[in-house]
Order: sequence, then C-alpha cells, then structure tokens
Amino acid sequence: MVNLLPTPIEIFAGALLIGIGTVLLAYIRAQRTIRILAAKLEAAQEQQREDERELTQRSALDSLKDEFVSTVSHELRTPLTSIRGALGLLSSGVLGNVDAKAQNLLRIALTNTDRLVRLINDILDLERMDSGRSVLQISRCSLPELIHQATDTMRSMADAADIQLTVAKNASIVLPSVFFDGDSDRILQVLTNLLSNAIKFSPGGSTVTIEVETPPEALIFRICDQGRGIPEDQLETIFERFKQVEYSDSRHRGGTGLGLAICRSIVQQHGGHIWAQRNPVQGVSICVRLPRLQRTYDAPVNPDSLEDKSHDNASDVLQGLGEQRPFLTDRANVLHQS
Amino acid sequence: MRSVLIIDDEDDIREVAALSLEAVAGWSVFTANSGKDGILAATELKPDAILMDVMMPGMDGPTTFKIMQQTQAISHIPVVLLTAKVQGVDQRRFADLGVAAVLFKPFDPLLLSTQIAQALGWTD
Repeated sequence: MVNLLPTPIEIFAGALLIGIGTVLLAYIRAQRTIRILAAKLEAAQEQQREDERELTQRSALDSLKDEFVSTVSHELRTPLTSIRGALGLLSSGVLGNVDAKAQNLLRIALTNTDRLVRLINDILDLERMDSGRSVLQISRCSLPELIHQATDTMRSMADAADIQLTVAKNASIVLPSVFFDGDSDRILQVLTNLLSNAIKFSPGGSTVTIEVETPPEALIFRICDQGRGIPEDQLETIFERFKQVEYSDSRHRGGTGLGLAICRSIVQQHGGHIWAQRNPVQGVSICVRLPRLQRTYDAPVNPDSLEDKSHDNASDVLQGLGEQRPFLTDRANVLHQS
Repeated sequence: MRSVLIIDDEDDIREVAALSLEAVAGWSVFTANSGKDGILAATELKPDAILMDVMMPGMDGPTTFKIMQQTQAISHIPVVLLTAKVQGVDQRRFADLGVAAVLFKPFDPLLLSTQIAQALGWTD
C-alpha cells in the first residue's frame, strides 16, 4: 500500500516553496511599485524643473518689461520736458511778449503737449496695473480725508467751468467714521479722475455731487453729475480703453480716453466694483464699491536697492579731477565769470 | 538772491530749467552736466540748493547725492531730485534717499521755482 500522505519534510518543503513564492511575488510587486513610484518621482521632478524654468523665464520677462516701461517712460518724458518748458516760458510772456497769432499757436502747442503727457502717463499707468505689477500700498485710509483732498485738487477746474462741487448731506453725516484699508494714492486718483470727468461733461452752472453709503463691510461712493448722460448701451463699455460716448470727446474735452479704464483697474485691484448708472432726471452717476478690509499687506520697498556700492568715498570721485574747473557747463561758466 | 545749481546731462532741460528759475523767480543759476561736475561745482560755488536729475550717465543722481552727503563741505546743501521716472516704486525709493524733495518731468516752468521754494521752506 502506497502512502500518499506527504512526509513532514515534503510539507515543510511545500510550505517553504509557498513562502518563497509569496515573498518572491511580494518582491516582484514591490519592485514594480518602486519602478512606478520612481517613474512618478522622475515625472514630478521633471515637472518641477519645467515649472522652475517657466518661473525664471516669466520673472526675466517681467523684469525686461518693467525695464522697457521705465525706459520708454523716461525717453518720452525727457524731450517732452524741454518742449513743455520752452512752450510754457514763451506763452507765459516772462521772456517777452509775442503777438496774438503767435500766442494762439503757442497755446495750441502747449495744450497738445499737455495732452500728450497725460496720454503717456495714462498708458504707462494702465499697462502696469493690468499686468499686475503695480503693487498696492495698503494702509488705513480715511474716506473723508481723501474726498477733501480730491475736491481741493479739482476746485480750480470746477470754478473755471462754473461747476459747484458738493458732498451730499447724508454723506456728511456718515463721513467722519468712514475708514477703509486701501492704497490712498490710488483711491485719490480714482476720486480726482471721476470728479474731473464729471466736471468736463457738466454744463456751466450745474452741480457735481459726491454721495457716500456705508453698507456692512463695504463703502460706496458716487460721483453724480447733471451732464448729458450716457446712453444705456454704453454704460459698461465706457470703462474700456479709448471708449468714449462721442468719438471726439478726447479732443474736445481734453481727456485721454483712459481715465475710466484706470479707475476700473484700481478699483478691481482693491477687490471692488465700479459701474455707471443713469440719473433719474439728468446726468450720470459713477459708483464705486470698495471692501472695508483688505486681506493682505504689501511688502515695503527696500531703499537699499538703489545704492551704488562702487562710490563709497567722495574722495574716490573727486580724486584726479585736478584743480581746474571743467565741471561747469558753458552757461554756468558764463554766469560764474560774470 | 537765492542761488541754485542745476545738474542734468540734458542740455535742453538745463537751459529751460535755468531760464525758468532766472526769469520767474529771479534766482542766480549755475549748471553742470554730470554728477562728478556737479559735486565739484557745488563744492566751489556753495549754492543755496541743488536741483538734480536722477538718470545720468556715469554717476546717477542718487549716487551723486550719496557722495554729496559724505562730503562735509556740501553735505548741508539741500538737494531736490528732478526725475522722469514717475512710477510709485521709483518715487518712494527716491524719497527714502533723504533728499529734500522729488519733482517730476515734465515740469511746469512757471511753477518750478515755487515748488522748489515750498519744498525747502523758502518764504522770501
């Protein structure tokens, strides 16, 4: 009779084989998992390197663009400074009188030079804001103070156009307590831009009114004019670049066509909203809603970045220039000698 | 009579600014066309104030100002920077240097002397 039962050795060998098989299988699985993980790690590392390359390239591009904007700004302003200065001196008469026709031509040249300066300022301003590289300097701001500054700035323009600037009575009541976190220079820019627009498009003898509301967690101010108004279908498009109600507005009213686009960018940067609405009787109101609190504060500017370490000692610079006076320009030499 | 030293590498701007200060305010004006020459001119002439460009070849305005501050003979002379760089970051950097004021190009030639006088507290 044959004994079919496994011997203990066979049982042990079988168990051993199964054990080895299991371990081998686990090992193979582990190896496969390791290979998969290694591949994933490789892919992640490659993605990280790619992201870093992109970030470096983007940062380099931003720096180039900043440098370009700064250079263009400087190169455009430098000749304009000479032109603006020369025309201003001639047309003012401080260097002598000019006849009426020449005076008129000087006035035209001066007005258009000023317009060109404003256009350059606005284009550069908008470009920086829209690219997200114009950093807000957030601090605690007083709306009454900003309104006071804006109306002071625009008072002479309003007087010249026979427009009355007023703050609505209800606004006067709430104003003393209206504070918010924002960039005061930028919000002042919004206020003066809107007041300037309202004055430009209002008839003489009318009133431009500033209204203020303070709903919870926000503030709303409105600049209301009694001018010609804005057609219903243009209430949104007027905030786009160079979009004006009349094509000739920029020439006739002296604007650049960018003021409201700049206002919108500033307000949006603050997390706010700007819109236009027709007044029930006459004119239009431009309304701005701003959150009272900003979540982030921007890092301060480091003044050290301007320092040139190559000139730490005045004597380094003065040394070697001798006792001569080559430093004065022709004009100064003449003046000095005289 | 007040005296002002204008330092700017642009001939035309020096001329216009000088004419403006002379004709409108009646000040005595000297000019120099670089930072190095400006330092030497200031040392010799001791003007009441210095109106200086920011971007100049060789030695720029901020560097020139820093050297002036380290030069005892002229460190007391107030410096007003005149710049075509009008972006907010630039403005704050210049103001942080410790200059008396920062004015911007293009300037109004009829107001330039008033702006300088106001910045320096000149009431005469």
